[in-house]
Amino acid sequence: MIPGRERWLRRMSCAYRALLLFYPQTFQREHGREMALLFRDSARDVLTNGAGFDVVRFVLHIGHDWARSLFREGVDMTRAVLALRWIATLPLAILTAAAAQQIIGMLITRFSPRSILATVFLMAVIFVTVGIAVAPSRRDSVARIAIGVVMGAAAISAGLGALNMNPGPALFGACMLAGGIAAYLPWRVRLRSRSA
Amino acid sequence: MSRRPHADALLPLTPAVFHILLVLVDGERHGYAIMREVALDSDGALRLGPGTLYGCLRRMLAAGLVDESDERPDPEMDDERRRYYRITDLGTRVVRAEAGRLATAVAAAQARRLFDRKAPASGARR
Repeated sequence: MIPGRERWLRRMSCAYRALLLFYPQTFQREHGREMALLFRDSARDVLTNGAGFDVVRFVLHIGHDWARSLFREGVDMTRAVLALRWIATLPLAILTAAAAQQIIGMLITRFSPRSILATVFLMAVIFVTVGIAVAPSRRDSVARIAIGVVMGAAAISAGLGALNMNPGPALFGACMLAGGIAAYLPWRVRLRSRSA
Repeated sequence: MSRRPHADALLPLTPAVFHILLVLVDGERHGYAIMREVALDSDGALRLGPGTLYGCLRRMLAAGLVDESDERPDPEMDDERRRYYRITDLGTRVVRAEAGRLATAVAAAQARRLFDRKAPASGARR
């Protein structure tokens, strides 16, 4: 390649590398180097074999490709971020349920298994309601987490009751576990039949 | 047990994805080779720029249609920094299904003698 064209190739490659900085970070990291290589090869091809008009056409083509793919990758990245929004459901739902539990705790002065059952049930309902309101497209995941939280609490309660030889919490925990399994199984069957 | 994804679920493909898969059917290629062969296969009608090509490859990698190859066909003759891509089993099934779908569409066009008809003169009213 003659020195004048080599200089043009370097300038064009440099300009293209600057354009690559506008792409989302992950895309740049993943493919930026190869895109720069591909651009350099294409530009060398055009500068060596093409006429002046071909160079202009190539520059317009690259500009159009850059603008279009930049928009597309930006949209994809935004979608990916929005898809993760449902993870925020978990702390929000737990906080709301915990606040509800505090309010109920202030209202109920006498401790009884029935009041615990009512509180846990209400917490699960609030958790699912908040979860589905925040992430309607992830209601299955929210329900799965809610059942997991309820069953985890029940297992702890049953375990502590059994360790302390206290039949009240142990029975309560066992009932909750049975209830959790009873809630989980039909939901699981429904998911299976939907995906079949 | 892993479930095999259904090829039809990914149809129809965009022209860029279809042509990239078609090129990779012949063996693994790097980005520049894919770009050149797509332009050749489509008679220059489809020219992929770096952004479109690597955007498509990123989505195809995520969908499991292609994967990256660790092997280099000839390290002596090739740039070590290039990445090579190869078609997966799912990619082969998908490109076959898409080619079948297009063949059906072309057969329907032929049955209506679309290719025998003269194109309407430009500016003619319907």
